[in-house]
Amino acid sequence: MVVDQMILHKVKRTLHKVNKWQPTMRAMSDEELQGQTAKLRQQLKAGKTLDQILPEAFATIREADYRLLGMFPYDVQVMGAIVLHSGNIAEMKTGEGKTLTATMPLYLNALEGKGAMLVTPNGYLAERDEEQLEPVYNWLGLTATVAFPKEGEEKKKVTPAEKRDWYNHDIIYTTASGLAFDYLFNNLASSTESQYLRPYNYVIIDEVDDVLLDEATSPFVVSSVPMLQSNLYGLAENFVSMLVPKMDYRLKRDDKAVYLTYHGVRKAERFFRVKNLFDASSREIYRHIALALRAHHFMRNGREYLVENGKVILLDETNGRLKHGVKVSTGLHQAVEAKEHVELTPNQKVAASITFPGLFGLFNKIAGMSGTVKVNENEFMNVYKMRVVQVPTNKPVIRKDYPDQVYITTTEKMLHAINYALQLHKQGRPILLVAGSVENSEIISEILLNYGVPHNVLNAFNAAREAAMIKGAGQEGAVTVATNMAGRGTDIKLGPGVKEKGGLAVIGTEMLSPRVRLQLAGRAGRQGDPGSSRFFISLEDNFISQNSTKRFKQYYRKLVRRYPDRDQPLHSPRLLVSLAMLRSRVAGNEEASRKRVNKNELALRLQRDNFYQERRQIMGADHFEQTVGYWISEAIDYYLAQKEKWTVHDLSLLINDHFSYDVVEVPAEAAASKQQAKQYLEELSRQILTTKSAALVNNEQLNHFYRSSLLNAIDSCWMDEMELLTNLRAEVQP
Amino acid sequence: MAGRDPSFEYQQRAFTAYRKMLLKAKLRALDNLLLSTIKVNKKGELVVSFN
Repeated sequence: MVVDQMILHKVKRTLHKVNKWQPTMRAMSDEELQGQTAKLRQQLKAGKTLDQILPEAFATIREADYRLLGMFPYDVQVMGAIVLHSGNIAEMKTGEGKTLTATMPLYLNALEGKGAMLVTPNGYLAERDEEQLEPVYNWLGLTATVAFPKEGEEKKKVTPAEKRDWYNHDIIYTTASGLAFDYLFNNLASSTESQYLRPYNYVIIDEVDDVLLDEATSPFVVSSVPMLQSNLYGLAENFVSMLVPKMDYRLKRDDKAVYLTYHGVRKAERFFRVKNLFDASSREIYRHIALALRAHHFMRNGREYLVENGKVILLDETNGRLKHGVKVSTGLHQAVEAKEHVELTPNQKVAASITFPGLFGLFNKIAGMSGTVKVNENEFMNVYKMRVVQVPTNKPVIRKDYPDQVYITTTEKMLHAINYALQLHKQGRPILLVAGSVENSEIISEILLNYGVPHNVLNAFNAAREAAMIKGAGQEGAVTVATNMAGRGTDIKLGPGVKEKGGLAVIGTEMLSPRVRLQLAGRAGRQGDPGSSRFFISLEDNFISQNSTKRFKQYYRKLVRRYPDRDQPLHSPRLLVSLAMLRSRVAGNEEASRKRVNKNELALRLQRDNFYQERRQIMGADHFEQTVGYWISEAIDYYLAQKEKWTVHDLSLLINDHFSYDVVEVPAEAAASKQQAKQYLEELSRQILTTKSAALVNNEQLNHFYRSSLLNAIDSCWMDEMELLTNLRAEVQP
Repeated sequence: MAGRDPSFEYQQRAFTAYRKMLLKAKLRALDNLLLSTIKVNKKGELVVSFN
């Protein structure tokens, strides 16, 4: 707390310096203000640091924001900007104008000419912000762009030249996933001309907790050639749907375990006609049965995934959005596809992969902003060495967060939540009803219809109408049923007359992790508006049942027995303590798993850096004779070390395997000793290369031949390495 | 993996695998350089085929 105060004090001192410049800037003519960019750059050249020119630069862009957009960044926004410039995380609430805040550090850091980026969770936000702010940057003599094809433009393939042009802009607005893929493809390019990235300099990550925490464990993957598809998926699926629960298999939902009983095993042996299911020869069969069982019992349509246009698409647990193009590996995806009877997609080999922490580790300086990061402050400090600074809001938050209402069963909880919603609806307040899953959102919608309440449903199915729904969500009497999707980046503005009635009411119907909960609650009470949030939870919620202990379960059963039809919320202190412990246990587990992933990613990163460096060297080289000679010599050494003694016959076999398909007369003295053998083989390869190069017209073609030979070799090996590491990771992680 | 630190095990195996990969790359490069066929197609472009 004290530290927070000290940092805030320091920030305020810098703010004071910025404010001192304000009258000077206001007095400047447009031309003079525009000339500031050149002047500041001059100062940088003269040896001043960014920190030294910060007050002047911030004051410049602040004034420019005012003249062009009519918006003069508030003091709190400048404070946020100072935090962002120092490479830390600014916690700013919804509606406090993060877009405008980011202009200041972006402008300052772009002055160096090394590029500054802002990454947002989705393309829509990046495009909106860029469109709004490009005039300001241009006016000040800087270039700005989005680093992806704009909406509405033709979706043609983007050439490396275009991408290079984007990435050479001073200020780049892009999405985190787009950046990750661009990085990976940049390093898969086969020539320097098809690369487009310049070294990463400065980045501001919007919704930083989402990017660096929630998404940290799922790597971005570029896949290459499809792997051989097994034909057992359908068969295993048929088999599993015949099984009788309890008799043939046991299900332990809480341990995420499902396994065959003795009876089930015998059934499998009969079905697949194998003698012993646990014999090495039927290993694949058993694996597919296990996958099919998992697909049946742990992958639920509407919760973990959706089927859309004959495709299985995963759902993001934390924000309820569809994860297009993302797959669960190790065959589970195919097993789900078999379960849903859609066409199986091939499993593909991994060509390159990176996680967000790995990607953003490449930048010289990273900063972040979000509304809900204070909860994970320590983790940011330990892992990324970033401090979380809470920037005060322009107007105090007067939203009321009521304590959770805990019920025993789901039914009770739902009824109470809906009754509460109806009650508020009668008062005319707009309501945001949050459902735990797509399925639940439909159920709630159904119930509301029975009561005759008109409402909108915002879930992964109708994400396309999101903007329109959010726009109407703050009007008087509006009811919006939404999944967690409504949590991020949605800014619900209140309609006329709503403020007097009490503002937006957020009603949760499921227990959620503290951060997601805070985000949802944060939809209400923006910019000092009134509002409230209340969460209804039951002991049967997913969050609880998946993480509870044996004792807690016994307690739950006791409660159910004792109060078969209790209609009151629970208040026992024991329960509240248990719930608090459960929450911290979940947070601890999540942190531990992220830590593990980061540790593994570190090994991968070292290899990746080393490999990409090697690769760049080959790609950029003009003379290959030396490298080629060295590589060939090493390869020959390896082959010769395979045997104690080499005969003429052995040598000619080796030559036919690796050197030439032609018949080569091996002289007897070559087999005399290893040294002579090596000499002979090196001479032979030189000859072969000379004959080959005769077919090539010029030096350029020769280089091209060498380059592609070497790149092809290392790339294919790297792909195998990635595959191996992915499998190793799955094996090592429990 | 019983009785071992999984993350240590991972790092170690990953490292050995990388060393092996560098060697394998050289072996494959040898094959590529010596056994590949070079052709010039109708457009006069260079086509190198590896196996």
